[in-house]
Amino acid sequence: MSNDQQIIDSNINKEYEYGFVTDIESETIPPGLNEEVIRLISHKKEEPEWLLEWRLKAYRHWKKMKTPNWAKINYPDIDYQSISYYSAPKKKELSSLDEVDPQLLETYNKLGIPLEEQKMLSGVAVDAVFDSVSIATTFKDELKKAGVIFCSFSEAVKDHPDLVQKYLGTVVPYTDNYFATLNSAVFTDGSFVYIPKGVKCPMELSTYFRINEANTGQFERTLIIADEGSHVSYLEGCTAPMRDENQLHAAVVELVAHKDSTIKYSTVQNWYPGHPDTGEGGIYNFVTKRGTCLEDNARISWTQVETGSAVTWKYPSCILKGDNSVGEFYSVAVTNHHQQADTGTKMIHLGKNTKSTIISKGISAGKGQQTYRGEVKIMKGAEQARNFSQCDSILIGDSCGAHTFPYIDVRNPTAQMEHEATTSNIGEDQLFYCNQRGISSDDAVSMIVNGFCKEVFNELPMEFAIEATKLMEVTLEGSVG
Amino acid sequence: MNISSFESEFNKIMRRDYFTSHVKPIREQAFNNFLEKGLPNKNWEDWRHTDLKPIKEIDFRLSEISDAPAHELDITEFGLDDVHTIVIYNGHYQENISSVPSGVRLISLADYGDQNAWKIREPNDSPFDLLNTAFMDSGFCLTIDKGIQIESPVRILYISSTEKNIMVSPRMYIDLGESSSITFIEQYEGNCNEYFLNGSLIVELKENSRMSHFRIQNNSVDTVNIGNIHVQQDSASHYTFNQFACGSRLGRLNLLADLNGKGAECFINGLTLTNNIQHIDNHIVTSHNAPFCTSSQYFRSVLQDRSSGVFNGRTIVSEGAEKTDSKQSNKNLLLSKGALMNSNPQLEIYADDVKCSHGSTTGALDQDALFYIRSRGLDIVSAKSLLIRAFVSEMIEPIHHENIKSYIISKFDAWLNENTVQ
Repeated sequence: MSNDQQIIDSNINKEYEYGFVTDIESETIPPGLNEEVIRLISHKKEEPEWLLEWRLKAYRHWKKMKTPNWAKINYPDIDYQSISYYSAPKKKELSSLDEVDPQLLETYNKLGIPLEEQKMLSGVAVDAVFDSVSIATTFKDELKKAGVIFCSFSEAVKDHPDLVQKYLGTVVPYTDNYFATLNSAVFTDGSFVYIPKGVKCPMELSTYFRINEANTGQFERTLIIADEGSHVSYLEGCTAPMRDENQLHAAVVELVAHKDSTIKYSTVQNWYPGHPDTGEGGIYNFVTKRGTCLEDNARISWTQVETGSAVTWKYPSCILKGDNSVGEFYSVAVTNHHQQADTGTKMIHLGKNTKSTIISKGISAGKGQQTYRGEVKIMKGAEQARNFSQCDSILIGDSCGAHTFPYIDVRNPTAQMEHEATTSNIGEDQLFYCNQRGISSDDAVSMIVNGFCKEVFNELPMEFAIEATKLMEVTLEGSVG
Repeated sequence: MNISSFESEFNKIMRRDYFTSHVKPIREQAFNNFLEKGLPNKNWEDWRHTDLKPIKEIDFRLSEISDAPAHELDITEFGLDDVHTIVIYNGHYQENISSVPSGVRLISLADYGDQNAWKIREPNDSPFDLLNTAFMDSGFCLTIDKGIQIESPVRILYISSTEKNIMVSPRMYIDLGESSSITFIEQYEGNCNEYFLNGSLIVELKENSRMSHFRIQNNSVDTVNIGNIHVQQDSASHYTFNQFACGSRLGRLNLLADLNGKGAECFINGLTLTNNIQHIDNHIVTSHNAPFCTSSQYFRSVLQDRSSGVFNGRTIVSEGAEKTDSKQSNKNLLLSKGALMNSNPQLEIYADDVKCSHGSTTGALDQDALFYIRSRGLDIVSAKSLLIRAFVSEMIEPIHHENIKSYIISKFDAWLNENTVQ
């Protein structure tokens, strides 16, 4: 297996391909966190009084909280006072692409988001977030015709304050957890989506996040509301430039699904995972994602491909409140080099005949440590609730780890729940079988890993499925042996 | 029982002089550590589903001489008459009716400690281990020398019989020499009201030795039964654990098995039957510290009324423990609306050439299966009990020892009769 060893080595030594820093003037407030900073953020964003109050309440609550330590991740303590909580590219309120800083456009091009060509190419509206402030949003008009609201969070606060006030914090309250509370206090921007009654969103909605500007934590806030009978598919994806200092990302995503509606939320995450040898400089990704199936027959589906970040702490969850509602979680997580991931989901069954499916695939290589942590809770009223969970892990190399911590809590006897998990390496017999048929070890391995993840990739929208497969190639392909 | 009542009981035991002076500092050390840690609460990850109210609410006291039986005991009512039995009654060793087969050396804890210059294992993994060390009574050690096979099972019978709130902390060591073997039964019986039993058992299996361990928890439903079992396995040793639990208001098993030698095998099984407000928590940790080891954890529960259960099984595969083969399975049957089951089968893996899997299911009896059986003329109660029996038999069938098996079946039958309702 010396050939495989070479492949492992060459891939494990691969440097992050998308690392670069864009040099743009940006408006940044000095590092530090106090009530003044929050007032300043709120003031700069011209927010209404109630939102400032809400931020301050969150901040006061956050001061009383302690950093959670139950997750199986190690990272140096974060100095929250050394982070700058607001950073925005100087030019704002652009009416056309010509006004956008050419350097910025170049960055997007490197990322593969040609804003100019997008309209023709993909039919995807992109709300590009570049260091906390949305720069440009496309396809607004077409969406407007359908009645869909898709805009940056700050615009939503200005233009649709009633909707924001009604739903903000209903799924993830400001008291929820350490990082969500921090986010509630200092979030700068994000995306807002509202799909009106009976509307099927005419296109996939997509936001590209990109972290820039050293020492700037990103605190995004996304709120998606699907009204009765509506349907929306939302895509989120990101890459980030190389950094020496750790960057904190504490986003909050809230989904609200009303009667008969469907929300599909897909993520491809490929942030800088840190220096390959030391793990230094990678992104800390502490994300709270949660959706509520508020009324009957609603459906929320999370799909994620996690290949980046030094530390990932992420549990996209579904609260299945309405009868017959459905929650789904499909995940592929890859940890290589010194990456650590503690990720999974929570399915809380409250309504009758609620169903949830969890498919989690973990791949751990190098010195990566990966944990699946999932909770399935079937409450008393959840008659005939049904859950199926499957969590499989592949280990590549002898110094990585894969851990599975499911929490299963059943309080209703009519519920049926199943959980299964396996952990293994790629079988020598599988490789041998492929070799025997003339397939090189390298191809065999990528075939096996792709096959391993297929169940999840199939759930991704077309545009993302391609990107995800590519990402897997970059991060892993061939490093299996 | 609050901290101050623990303290006053501790002062009492320190004034007694059963043990040599070596024990006092060990007790003190353990008790101080316990005071530092305190009793677990629901914020502790390992205790989040278990409420220790039955311990906290009642003040237990040490067992006195007056709690020993006034007249000779008859143990035939506890079944299993073809085994050698060591009887512990309310924490008091009953020498006159106890026996061990030849080949087994039974020595008191004091002698065992002296023989080993008091360098004996003092587990401190949980506060209950520390409590046990602080309050240990009726301590002894079973030693089986190299190459000796013990055919007849050895049983240790804990009988609790009192109206008063007694706490008992039995401490026991089992040392199996190279290539020796034994079948060992722990049996908990008794009809008492509030009773707090916190036992620690430390097992050491030398190379190529075998132990088949049964734990029958059949004590009254007002008892608190905490069992702390620590198993150390050398290479090619074989350990099988079977628990049958239907007693106790609050039951908690902490079983930690370390597979330290190449090719060790460790199979841990448990069947739990609960009703009313019983709560039984099984907390199992299997650590693979050497290559080529095999382990499994199979646990099943049947829960009636408002009873609740926890299965918290963890398999740790350390770096270098290649070729590990490990399985976990937890299946639970909820018979009533108020029943609650928490299942956390966990895998922690730091080696790549391993095969590990786990599975967990929780649900009610299959309505289609019930209908099928009823359509063939059986009434609902028989149909239900047939299905429950099928669910349970997978745990009971593999037991090799016929007498133990039929004893467990008789206990199960009694439970089933009482608990199958329309």
